[in-house]
Amino acid sequence: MPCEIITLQLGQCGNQVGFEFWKKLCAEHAISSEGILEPFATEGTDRKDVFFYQADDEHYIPRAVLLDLEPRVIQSIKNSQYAKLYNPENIYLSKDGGGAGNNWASGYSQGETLQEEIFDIIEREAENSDSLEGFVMCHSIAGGTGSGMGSYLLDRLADKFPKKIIQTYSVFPNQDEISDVVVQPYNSVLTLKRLTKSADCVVVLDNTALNRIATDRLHIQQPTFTQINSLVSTIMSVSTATLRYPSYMNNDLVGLIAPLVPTPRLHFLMTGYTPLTGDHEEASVRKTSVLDVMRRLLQPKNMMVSTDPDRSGNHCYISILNIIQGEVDVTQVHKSLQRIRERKMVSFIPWGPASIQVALSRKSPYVHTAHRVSGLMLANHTNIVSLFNQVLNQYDKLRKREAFLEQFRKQAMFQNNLEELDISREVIQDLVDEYIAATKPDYLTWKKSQGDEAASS
Amino acid sequence: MSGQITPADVPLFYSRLAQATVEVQRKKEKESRDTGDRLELTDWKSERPHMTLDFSYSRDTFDMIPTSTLEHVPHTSQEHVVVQELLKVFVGGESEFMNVQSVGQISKKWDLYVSPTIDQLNFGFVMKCLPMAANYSTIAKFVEDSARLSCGRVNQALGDSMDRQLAEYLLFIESLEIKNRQKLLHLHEVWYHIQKSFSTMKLLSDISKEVTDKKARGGCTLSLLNDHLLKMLAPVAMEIEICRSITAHSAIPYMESVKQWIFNGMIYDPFDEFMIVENPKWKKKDYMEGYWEKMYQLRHHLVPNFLEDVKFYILNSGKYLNVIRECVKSEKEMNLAPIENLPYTEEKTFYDVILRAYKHSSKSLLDYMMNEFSLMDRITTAKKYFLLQQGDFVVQLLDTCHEELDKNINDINPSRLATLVEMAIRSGSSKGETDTEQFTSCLKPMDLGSQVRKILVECIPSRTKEDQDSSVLSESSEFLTGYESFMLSMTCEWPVSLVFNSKVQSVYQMLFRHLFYCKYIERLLSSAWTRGKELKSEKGPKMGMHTKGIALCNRMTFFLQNMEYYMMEEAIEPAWAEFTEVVKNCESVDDLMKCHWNFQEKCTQDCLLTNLDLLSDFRGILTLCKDFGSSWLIKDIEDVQKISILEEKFNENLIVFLTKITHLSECDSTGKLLNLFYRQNYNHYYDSILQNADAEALMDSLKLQSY
Repeated sequence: MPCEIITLQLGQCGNQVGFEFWKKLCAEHAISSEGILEPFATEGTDRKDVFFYQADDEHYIPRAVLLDLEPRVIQSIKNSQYAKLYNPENIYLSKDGGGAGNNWASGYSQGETLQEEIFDIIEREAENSDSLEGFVMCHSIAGGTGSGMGSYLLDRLADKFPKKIIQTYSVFPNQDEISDVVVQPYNSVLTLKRLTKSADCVVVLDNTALNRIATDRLHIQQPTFTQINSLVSTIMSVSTATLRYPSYMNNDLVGLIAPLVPTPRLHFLMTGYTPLTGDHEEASVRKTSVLDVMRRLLQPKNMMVSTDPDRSGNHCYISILNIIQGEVDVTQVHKSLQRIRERKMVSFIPWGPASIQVALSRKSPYVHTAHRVSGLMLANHTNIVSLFNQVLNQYDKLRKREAFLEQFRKQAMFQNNLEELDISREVIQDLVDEYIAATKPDYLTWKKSQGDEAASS
Repeated sequence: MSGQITPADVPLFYSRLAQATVEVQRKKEKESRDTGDRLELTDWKSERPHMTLDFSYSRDTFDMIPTSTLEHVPHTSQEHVVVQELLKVFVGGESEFMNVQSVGQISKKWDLYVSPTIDQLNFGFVMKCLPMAANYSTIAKFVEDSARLSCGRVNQALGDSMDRQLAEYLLFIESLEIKNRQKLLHLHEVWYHIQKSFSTMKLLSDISKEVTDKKARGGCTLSLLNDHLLKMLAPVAMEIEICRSITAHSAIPYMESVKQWIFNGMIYDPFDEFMIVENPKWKKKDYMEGYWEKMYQLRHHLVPNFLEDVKFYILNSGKYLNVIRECVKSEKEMNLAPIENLPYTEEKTFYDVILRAYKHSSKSLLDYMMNEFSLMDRITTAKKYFLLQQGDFVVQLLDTCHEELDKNINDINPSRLATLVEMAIRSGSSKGETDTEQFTSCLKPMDLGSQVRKILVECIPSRTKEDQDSSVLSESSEFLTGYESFMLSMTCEWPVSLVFNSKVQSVYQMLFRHLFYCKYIERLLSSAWTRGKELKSEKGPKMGMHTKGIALCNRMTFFLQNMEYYMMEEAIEPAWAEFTEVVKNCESVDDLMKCHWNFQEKCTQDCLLTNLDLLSDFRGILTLCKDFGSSWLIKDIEDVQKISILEEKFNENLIVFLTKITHLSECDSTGKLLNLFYRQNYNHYYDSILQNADAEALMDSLKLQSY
């Protein structure tokens, strides 16, 4: 079967998110926690083999590789009822078990030393698939393992599988609370460089926004990791819905991503999901229409990325894909698009054709939802730079003070100098500049002039 | 035997000759019997000429003018003799003093011959009364003639009912005779008495004449009778009654056949006079193309005019029953409706019976096909595969068959391709469905444009504009690649094949080729994008150099994906939704086929296939996309110039295409084309370009193309 996707889960956050994601996929495909098809499942409605393969005894096994440097989360997965779901050979825990100490450099260098064992697993998994389309990586950019080892893996994956698509679901740290990881800005900047250079598509999951949504919209006072991760898993599962429930369009990952990422570097996507309700009270008084869903998806409060309000008013969408599920009348879709266009509710790039693309996707028949229509927006918006700017600001503050650098200097990469940090910062600054340039009509020629500069300097 | 003939041999020759003559005669008789036209047991009329009710014309030297004279009869008794003779002539007897003789072969006119020796006064009355004898003769001849087997059951029945009328007439004449014998009857009284039956006889003889003249039989005769009945005026009540009764009587055998057909699906037509005929070309168990249309056919000239309005219901009722009969193992499974009586009435009460029978048989067949052969599932599957809704199958197909499909049509290994396609179908997400096995791959050595034109001309003549000369579309089949010629075909068993006849399949195939080609181009653009994505880690000039290519790739992808979305989600899906809604109310397989056809027609039209001009523009853009997708290699420096040329062409073609769409959408009531334009120009990116384009020149070129 073509278009298989291998999921790589790294570190504490990545494995937790991944765990929720697989839980969700199992529920949607009527696969039990032990990988057995539920008796009520019907044939011929979905494609399970994108994310699962069948063992000799017909059990469904996720194409997932679980990696961590410390045992806590993986142990909890192994103790859960889903323990038998995964291929035990695909769960890799470093023997050291000491973790990366929230240090990017430690994660990166451990990734380097462990690469052989890790790539044995990945390559075996890749060979196991008929026509691998790409990798999906879940990780956080702030910690040590997900960011450090994740960065190493991204670099290597891009080398070893240049034709495959590498998509990441990257969790950005919560800016609202003071993190106990003091080197978080360093980690973030270093990871972002790899996300820019080695990943093809990064779905940004911003913990700040996720927490705000949980408290404001779902009325959860103290959202737990599980609650946040279930939000994330919803996004992950819906964004892959067109692959798993084939229909006319967007049946492969490249067809999904290519229109969203018109130019290769601007590949950071925001997401939005609606309707978000913790309980069903809202559903009982409301009738969601396609227009409601499409309009709400454009509201910042539903976005899973906290961006600064756009004061200049220059920021714009590069591309939008709305994945709409449920009972949808096509004419309604068109009317909604028309209304949004007429009322100028959304502004697009001036340098190329762009629109709200709509993918109508089927829903799992096994999972009941209270809403008639639901929608996920994957959007490439230039205002994502405000998130990068926050990261850069925090980084600059630390960097100016030369704070907390000792831990980095201990690692081989930073022993002699801190050049890697500076390079990474520069890459991100370039990215920010490019995003800003993309708001202007001359974006396509802008690159050239920058290129000329680079050539002349 | 020696060459010498001796006198002794002569008797032997005689006997041999006699034997041979008998044999030849027998052979002749047999032949004439086999031709059917003379399906008679004996031609008793010629053998026993005097047994006829009619005047016997056996005397060859029949004197036209009666020779006997009445001169010797006294004037007072003459009247009695004349009445007696007249009554004799009235029932076909021969008289010495008077006589009627038809003129010419066709018995339209009669000559009356009366002996001039009859008294002048009586002569006048006799001349007035004699036409009665002419009428009688016509009727009697008809009754006798129509008793022949070859006349068919309707004419036989008509003859029979006329015979009954004649019986009454004979009684009446007899009563006159009795009176005459008592010498109570005067000639003028005869004239008076026969007035009543005169009109009846006239009517019957008119009918007989007409039937004979027009050589009417079967349904024709019934139409004729019905016409007579309708033409009758109300006051002559008795005649209406008679006419009605003979019509009803004659219709009995025909209606019996209708009954057999609509309730049992059997043709009972021994004398070849029924309105429905089984086409011998489409033998049973040979369910080839055209069965549905051609197996049973109406013979329009044999449809009685009172069945004209319901003739298709009659045809279809039996046709449906026969389709079911072909499928079931035993008659018991057929679930036939109870047979109802089907008498002819002037008020057409039989319509209800026919409609009931039709409803029952159409419903049974529809239910049968829906339940036993899950027809709707079949159609759904066909739509999924032909119209590419089974997305994973398409991806798989493009993945595994690329190597074969990329070749020239003549270099493709068909069996390898077939295996690959079969694999792609099997491994799809709908592997649980059994009816996916019916798809096979095939290659059409004809480019899409020609196929479209051919199908349009054949199937949707109303939608075609005058055959435009779009030479852009006609590529020689020599240079077709697998991608351009690949299509699926569906094999389905009886009776599903009725619904998926070759016409329906070829429209599906045309749509498949159109959509599949788009998917192929999208795939090419995707791989171009994958090549382009490697640039993300490049810095500076290399990246800048390829910006044009990247942007063009994006614009092409954007164009194509929006086209696909439009065709699939905005054209096909709503048409499908409408179809599934309408199908629920379908009452017969014909209804269903019509709905299905409408669905296909809508898809064809909305996917731009009916507008060859627009289609050729669209294909032109696709060709540019193909050039780009297959040639853009980011490693080449020379690329840059080539990309510029491609970009320019793409712009040009796109502007023409979009302009035409806006132009066309003005006369498109559904507004779908305008939607397409809005999708392509959602962020007004093309506004300025469209404005800058010389609008007038463009319109001129549009006009040129449309004429």
